[in-house]
Amino acid sequence: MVNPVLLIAVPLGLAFSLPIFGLISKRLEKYLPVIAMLFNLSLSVYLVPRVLTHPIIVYIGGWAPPFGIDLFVGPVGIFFSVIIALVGLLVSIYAMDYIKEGDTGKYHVLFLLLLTGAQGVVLTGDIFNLFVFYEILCISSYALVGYLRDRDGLESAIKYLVQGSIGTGLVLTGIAFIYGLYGTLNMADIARQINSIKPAANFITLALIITGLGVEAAIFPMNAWLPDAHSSAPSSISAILSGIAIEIGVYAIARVIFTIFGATDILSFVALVGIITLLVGEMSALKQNNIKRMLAYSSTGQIGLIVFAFAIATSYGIEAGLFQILNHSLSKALLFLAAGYMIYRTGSMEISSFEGMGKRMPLTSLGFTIGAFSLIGLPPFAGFASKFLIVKAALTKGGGLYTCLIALALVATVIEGAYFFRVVQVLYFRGSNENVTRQEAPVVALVPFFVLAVLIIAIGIYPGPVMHVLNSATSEFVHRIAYIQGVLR
Amino acid sequence: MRKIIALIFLAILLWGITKPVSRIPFGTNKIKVAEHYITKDITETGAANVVTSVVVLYRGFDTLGEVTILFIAAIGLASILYLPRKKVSDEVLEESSLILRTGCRFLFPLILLFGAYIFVHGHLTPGGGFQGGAIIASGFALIFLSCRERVVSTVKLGVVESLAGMTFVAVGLIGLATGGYFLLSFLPKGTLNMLFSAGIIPVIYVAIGFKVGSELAGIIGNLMERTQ
Amino acid sequence: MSLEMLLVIAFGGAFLTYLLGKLSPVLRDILAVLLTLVILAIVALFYGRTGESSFMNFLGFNLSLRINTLSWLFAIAVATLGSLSTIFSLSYMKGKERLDFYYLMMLIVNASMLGIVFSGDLISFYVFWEIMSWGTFLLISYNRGPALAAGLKYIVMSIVGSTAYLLGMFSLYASYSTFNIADIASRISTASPGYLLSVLVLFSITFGIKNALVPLHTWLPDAHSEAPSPFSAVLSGILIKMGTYGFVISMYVLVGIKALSHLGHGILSFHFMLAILAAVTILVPTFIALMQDDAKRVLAWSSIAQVGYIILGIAIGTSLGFAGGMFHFLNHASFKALLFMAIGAVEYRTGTRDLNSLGGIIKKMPFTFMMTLIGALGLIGFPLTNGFVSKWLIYKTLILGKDPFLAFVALFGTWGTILYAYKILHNIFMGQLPEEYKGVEEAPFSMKFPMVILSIIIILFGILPGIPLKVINVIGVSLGFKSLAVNIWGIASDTGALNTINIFSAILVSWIVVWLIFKAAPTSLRVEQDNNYAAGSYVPTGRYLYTANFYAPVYRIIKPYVIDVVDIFYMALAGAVRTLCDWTRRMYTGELGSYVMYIMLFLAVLITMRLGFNIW
Repeated sequence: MVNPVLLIAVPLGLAFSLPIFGLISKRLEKYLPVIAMLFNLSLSVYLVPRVLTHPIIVYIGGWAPPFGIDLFVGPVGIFFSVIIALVGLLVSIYAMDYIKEGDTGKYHVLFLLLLTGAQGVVLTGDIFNLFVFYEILCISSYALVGYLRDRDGLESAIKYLVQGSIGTGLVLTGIAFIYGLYGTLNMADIARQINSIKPAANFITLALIITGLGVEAAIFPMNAWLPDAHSSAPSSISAILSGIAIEIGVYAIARVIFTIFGATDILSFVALVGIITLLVGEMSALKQNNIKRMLAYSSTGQIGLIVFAFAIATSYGIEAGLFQILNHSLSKALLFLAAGYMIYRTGSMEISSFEGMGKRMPLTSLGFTIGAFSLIGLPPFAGFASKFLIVKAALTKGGGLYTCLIALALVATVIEGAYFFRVVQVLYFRGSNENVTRQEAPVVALVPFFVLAVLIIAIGIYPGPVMHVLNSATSEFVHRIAYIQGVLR
Repeated sequence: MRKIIALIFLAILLWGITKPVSRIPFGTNKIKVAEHYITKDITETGAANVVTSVVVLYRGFDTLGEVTILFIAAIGLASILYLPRKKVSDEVLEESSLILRTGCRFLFPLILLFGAYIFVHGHLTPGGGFQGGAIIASGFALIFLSCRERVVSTVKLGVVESLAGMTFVAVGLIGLATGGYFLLSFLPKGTLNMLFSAGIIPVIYVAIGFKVGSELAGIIGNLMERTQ
Repeated sequence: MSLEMLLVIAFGGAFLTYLLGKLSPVLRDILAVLLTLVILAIVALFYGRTGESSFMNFLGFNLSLRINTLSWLFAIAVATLGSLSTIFSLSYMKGKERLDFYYLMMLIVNASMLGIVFSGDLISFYVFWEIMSWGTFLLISYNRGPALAAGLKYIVMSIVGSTAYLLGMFSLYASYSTFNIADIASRISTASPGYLLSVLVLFSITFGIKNALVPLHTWLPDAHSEAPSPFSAVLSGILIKMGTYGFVISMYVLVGIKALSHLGHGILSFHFMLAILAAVTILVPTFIALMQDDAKRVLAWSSIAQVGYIILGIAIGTSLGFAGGMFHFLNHASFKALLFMAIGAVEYRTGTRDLNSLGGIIKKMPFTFMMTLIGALGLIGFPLTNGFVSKWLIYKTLILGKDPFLAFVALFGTWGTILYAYKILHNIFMGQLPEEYKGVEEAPFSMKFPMVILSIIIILFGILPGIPLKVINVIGVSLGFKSLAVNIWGIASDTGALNTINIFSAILVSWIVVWLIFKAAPTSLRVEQDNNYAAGSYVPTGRYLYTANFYAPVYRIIKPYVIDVVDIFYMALAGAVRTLCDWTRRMYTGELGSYVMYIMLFLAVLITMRLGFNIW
């Protein structure tokens, strides 16, 4: 049997060796992330059926938990792993042509490490190890945001760095308290000892960790770094940050709340925060003229929706949240990638400069449109299925609070529809189409568009296979005891 | 106004933090994991230095991650400071004083040696790869200070850095291949307190020492780089 | 042929048409027309079929398609208008840009409408509904310029509607654990009136928006006037009737006629409130239509008003009213589509649809004039056109139901209808032919053909109303209405029968009488228009006969009352929302200090809530 630790070790090793390959030939550098992600994708997909029957627990260095570090490769982990590898693969294919400026070798190293960090976070079963991989993810994203070395990029990288560091500092403080209080860092072992968050000590620890992780997960009001960072990073990085990084933050929060603390008491508060995040994000996006800022604000909104879905905490809710993560990863990656080449062709991020894109870059525009429609939640795209599940979860949960909140969420959808449809109009119908020549994005960029668009439609029409994985993933979150027993046999 | 609000927030934070802090059993016997490390360590790892065995063996995966973080910091800094065409400014640098120059030339090999000692003996005495690497980097810092006309090749540092990182991963993969566990201590434990003991700890610490040394030196080198 | 196959053909054919357009535009046009005709034929063959079959499993729910007479009636209207407007498009759209896209969207919208009426459960209904919505959005935006704002307005309102639908659908699911319409309908009778009312109100928002019921109508005037004319015909003819279908489904299929009658008492009952809304929908838009100077805007406002009649008939909820409403839906589909096509033909030839600058086109386009005349007569409800029969049924219902106010409103609306229908006829076709339109030709065959078909339908159903009324009666009976005594000439009933054969003979006789009188009278001298105008003296050159400000005295009277307050309100609301959004955005000041403060604020709030207030 193949060991899932390779999902982390192989990209890491390739990232370390990338500078040496770069010495051999500059052109080799850009293929390494592709190879690494291809490997990860095939391995993750290969592992899916095994993991669904029972989770694989890997001991690093042969030390049994809680003394050593373990990887818990459950349905949740493998679900995220597939998403990371898939989106990572497509974005790295895209970046082969897109990234031309700067020290490209360093870009590819950082990009690969960012994905490695994300892989580590979702697979690990140890909270400090989670923190370490989380730092890998964060620090490489700080550097990548500033990669273009323009004023905006550097400014937002610094802002991101400061806020991110405060966040990780809080997480670390929380982990220190956990270690002090319970003498262990293994998540299952901590979970075994924590029965409720009623004691103030537990609650404060939880609050520190949630706040800290909330910064990276872009939960309101800790999401102020996001619009700057996502809009000034190179588009391929924006796609990764929006499509993967913030979802990893949400995963970490879900893991902490559901598995470690079993903190069902605060979920209605979390739901409220999620809806506020959603509303603030969508409302901020409405009047944006900068396409990437608009997409960035929309990302915070979508994160709010995901958080809300998780906070419903019934198995329907978690399932819906995971589905929305999948949808958001695919759609937002597609949107950022498509927008990236449009910006590249026009040299401007103003939405109004995209007039006539429908003729100039028809496939790119089509990709953007599909992504936008999916994000709004129109059938037959993937977004419909996820929004459907979220509304279903909220209304079957019952209770006035959730009904009101889902009504607010749907109001946010209206706002979201308004600004996305406006962009679609600009792409296809605004301005005159005369004197527009076709300047399509290169083939390496079209491949990711095509794959993402096909996936969005396929999942939208046949969500069955995905739901199969999501069901198991949901039960991993819901059945805390099973998780603990699985690790501490 | 803002300061007052900040103070209020800090006060609330402090108030909150007192709760878990007051519950942590300071001064009592270490519980659970820590106790296990203290009592079982030597038999399990063969390393005289408990801290080292925790860092490299029990939590070796974290260490790999930390090394990666340092690597990212170095690479990230280099990518942000990257200049498309390197033009060393023609500005003539002020010579450093004779005392500094002589002292540095004298100290540099000794510092390198001391750094190497620290990471090679990581499993026996306090210290290890990170500390040793930092000492080595301080030697380079001295060189940058004293012999200002010297340029350290960032390419070579990068190669060392990469090779060291690959060594770490390779050691882990060998463990996976031979024993089925990533980062398994597949080498013999040896005799306690001997240089060649404690399994893979010395190998990994040597790699880390090289890696940290070259990374920190590279960071300093990057920051020292001048343009017009 | 199963329903699934039909939808596969409809959707698949749409994409095939798109791809074929990349090869050859001619083949694409042929395929598009063929496809719609094939669909029409298949739907026609479905007549009388009932049944339900599940076609797909979506997220653990069976999606099913079902057919019965109700859905067949809507489907045949969709298929007919779909094929006629596609044929009309052939020359109307010729030479425009992005035709592949146009045909793709046109066919997708048609296919999704078929999907809507054949949906057996609420999910597939929603899916097709949404596909229709975004397809429509893309088509409305197609004309660029002001069409963009219209499209955006449409889609935003449409999403609001979908939101309401989702809430309604899931609250039904939460109670009955199924999305299947028939299953819900069989269990809903025990539900409490308050619950039913809330669900119905949610659905009414959705369908009211699509149906352009006042006060949810504001998207329609812009959208109808800005869309390409063949699509305006579809939009006005059948697309907004999907809202009507939704009303029928939610009121009479889901909730059922029995439970519906228990929702409130007297004036405060659900269907009476709906009827009042419908009455307002007739009254105000009719007179707004009168004030318009853009021919398509007149028709757009007229569509809102006519939909008011449909809903009025359906909302009253007697078998006669239901039949009248349903029949009026069919009729409106035919005559409004005809009118949009005729205006489209005029616009195609002259390049304008401004009522103040057109005139005298009758000399150049007599055929189009005839078609417009038939359409306008149908719209007014002139005897021997189908509009007469349906309006007769609606009036009769209102009078029998002792609703004098509603009956008066309906009549009053018809007077307004006569005025604006005449305005269209006169301003476009009568009067002096402006110099620039001297070279105008008659519409091409591909435009004439669909118009002829529609005008035949109008007259056929006007003379033989029994054909559709029989089908409608079957639907009514299946929904639990009393059966009507329908015969081929109309309806026999003890409170006054409708018999078109009598009307037909009466009109024939009066025509003969009039003709005889005119024959007997001294023959008049035919005088040319310009001769007449100048009374024999110097004839001015250029245009001297204008028809601007057509009903000036009427305008003066009604102007203060017919402001579209709702639209002004919505626009103000939209403006306020935008301002609010902008304010929200300003929270992200760009200053790092405050960002860090936000993080600490969140932590401090959490800690304070726990330690200070002991929440959790």
